[in-house]
Amino acid sequence: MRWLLAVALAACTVEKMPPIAMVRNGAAVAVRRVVLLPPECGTLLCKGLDQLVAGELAFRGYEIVELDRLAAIERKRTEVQVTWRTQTNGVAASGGNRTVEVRGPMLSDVDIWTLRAELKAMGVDSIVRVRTAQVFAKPARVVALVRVTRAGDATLVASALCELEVGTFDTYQEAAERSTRCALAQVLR
Amino acid sequence: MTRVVPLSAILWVACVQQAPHATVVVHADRQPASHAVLVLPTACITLASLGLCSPAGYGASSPGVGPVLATSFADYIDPALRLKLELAGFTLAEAAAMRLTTADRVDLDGERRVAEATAGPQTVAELPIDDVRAVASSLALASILVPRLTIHPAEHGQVRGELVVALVDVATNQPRWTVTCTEIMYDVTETPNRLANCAGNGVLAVLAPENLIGRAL
Repeated sequence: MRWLLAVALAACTVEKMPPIAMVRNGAAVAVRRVVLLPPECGTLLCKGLDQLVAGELAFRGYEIVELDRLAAIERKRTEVQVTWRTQTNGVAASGGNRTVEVRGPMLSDVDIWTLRAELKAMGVDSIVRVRTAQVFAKPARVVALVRVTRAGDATLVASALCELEVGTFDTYQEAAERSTRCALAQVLR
Repeated sequence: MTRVVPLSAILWVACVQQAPHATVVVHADRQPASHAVLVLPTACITLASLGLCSPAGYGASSPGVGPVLATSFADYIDPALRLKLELAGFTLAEAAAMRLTTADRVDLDGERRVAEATAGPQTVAELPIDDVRAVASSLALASILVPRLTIHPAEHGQVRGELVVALVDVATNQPRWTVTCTEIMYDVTETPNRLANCAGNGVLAVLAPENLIGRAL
């Protein structure tokens, strides 16, 4: 038991490698309104990374256009309402249900390369892409990349990569979040 | 006891693999420059036993024991490789994410699902290479990035993974540059991931050498 405690204590105190950052800056252009592409996470869970980045960028004053809330074309809405009423031995009962189906692609279902005209019409000047990848090595690490490109011609505005170690008591998702925050701290300041 | 410690240290050092080296070939008159490209998922070819193009084909543990392995090596290669390529300045248009027909999104009583055709190719990545070139051309993408993992037989019954990443010119179907990394497949997750990082670092070394080594925060 003492040995187990000693091992656990040692595991807690082992110093992790410091986060490593790489930053590349491209064209110096003003960024005001951006779209955020769905994050690419490989085998990692990346749930919530897009909201994390959107929240942080919105806090810094950038306008975020959410493609998955915008219909690509007019969507078809079908509403079916069923009501019923019965009377048995003088006892009346009634009920009903309502089904609403909305069908049609959202802008996030359309490939970004076919969206140039729509992005321009919406005044979107930049595209933000988040990627994370697991480094299968010892110690286990996670890398995150935040990349900003100009919407019109895909020219690089800025990109930052941050690599950090996954601690003994961390999950890969927590490490992915931290490395994304770390990379985000290096771009669009 | 006094001999065990140095012996263990020697064995440990011997077991740690050297990082693979990237060989970059830039073809004549095609200067490397980063730009927007269409990228295909990593394809696998085996020149050794059949079934070695799947991580599960390497005599993995019994079902329910040990980590769950991916069905394809692309899962271990593509995220790391693409990350490095984007840092090098390439803007990647994912062929595997480009649907041939736009998916229909259905919201039924607040629950969301995507309705897609189930027969035939679904994405650009599943098309023959000539059709992929036609798609790239129609999107004004001048190059296609083609990663390929080849499993070769190696000495002592081992197998070797060779990752070749080629940037192919759409107009001529000739490579602009290729990066090759090779290593014995000691581990079905670690080795393909190391090959991907090796190839990505090879591209970085050519296009953005200042980004090859990061700075500690």
